[in-house]
Amino acid sequence: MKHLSNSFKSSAILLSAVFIMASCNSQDGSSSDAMSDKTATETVTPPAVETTPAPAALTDPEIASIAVTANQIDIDYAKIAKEKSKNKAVLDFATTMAKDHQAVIDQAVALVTKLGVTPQDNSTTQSLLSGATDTKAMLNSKTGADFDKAYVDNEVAYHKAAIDIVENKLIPSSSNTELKTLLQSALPLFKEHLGHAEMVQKNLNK
Amino acid sequence: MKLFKILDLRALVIIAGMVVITSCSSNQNKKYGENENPRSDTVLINLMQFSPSSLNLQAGDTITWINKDLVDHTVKDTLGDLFYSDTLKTGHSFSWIVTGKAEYICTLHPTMQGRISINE
Repeated sequence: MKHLSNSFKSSAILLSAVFIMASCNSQDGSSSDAMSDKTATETVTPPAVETTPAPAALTDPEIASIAVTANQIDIDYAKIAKEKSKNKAVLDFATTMAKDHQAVIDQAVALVTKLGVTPQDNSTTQSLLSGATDTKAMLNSKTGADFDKAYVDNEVAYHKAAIDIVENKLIPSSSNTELKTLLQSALPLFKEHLGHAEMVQKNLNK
Repeated sequence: MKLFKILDLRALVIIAGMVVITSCSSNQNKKYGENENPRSDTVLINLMQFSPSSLNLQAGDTITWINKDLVDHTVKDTLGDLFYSDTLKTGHSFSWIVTGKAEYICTLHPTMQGRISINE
């Protein structure tokens, strides 16, 4: 249970922002539907539980910070895998992750430099870093086949969460066209990484 | 005058013989299905896809893959090991003169797949 908790913690943090947004949208919708069922004379009692305030929309500097941090975290996981694994498929996958995510960071840095924008730290970035610390500790505690499984399982979960947040939060929130295009270009890459991770995962489980 | 006619006739026979020999030689070298008009096709690697992912070509045609993506790629035939490119950085390309049908992948991103079929 603890393993599962650690393994998916960073992914859960990534997803949390999306869930909060979805939750807020859902609450708005259900409230509207409920209102339509009430009669005009009926008094609507406010809910006793305080609702979570809608998160402020992300700015482009914050999106850049999240994108760079999320990519750097996966590079860090790949570095651990390259040090600890002896499985060729896992090592090849980790090498590709390190190179590809560095390429995305390079593109993002080049873009913010061109635009004169400084990536801005924010709560999502901090949550990502916090979750990554726990996941790295979990990975470092494992060896052999246990490590390979933990690393690849985390990669599957992490990329699912990354795809979700890029697709549903970062792309819709970005206002700069070039930043939006970069995120849109990175999305198929993350989807391929997920498919690749699932392929390795399937072979490990044989 | 008669001598000239004999010489002309001999020359004609020699030329005709050479034409026949050249023609036979040409036919012997020509293989069945040889590509008399080889063409060139391009496959773009972009957004983690080969585009087009499937091509119908003839032996002797040339296919060139160009990497337009954010990241490095390779192309490797998994059917008969007919080709395996070096790592293609963004903007780099790899060409292969078609020798047979192929099913290929990017070894760095193995979910990326393409196919070359042969038009006999």
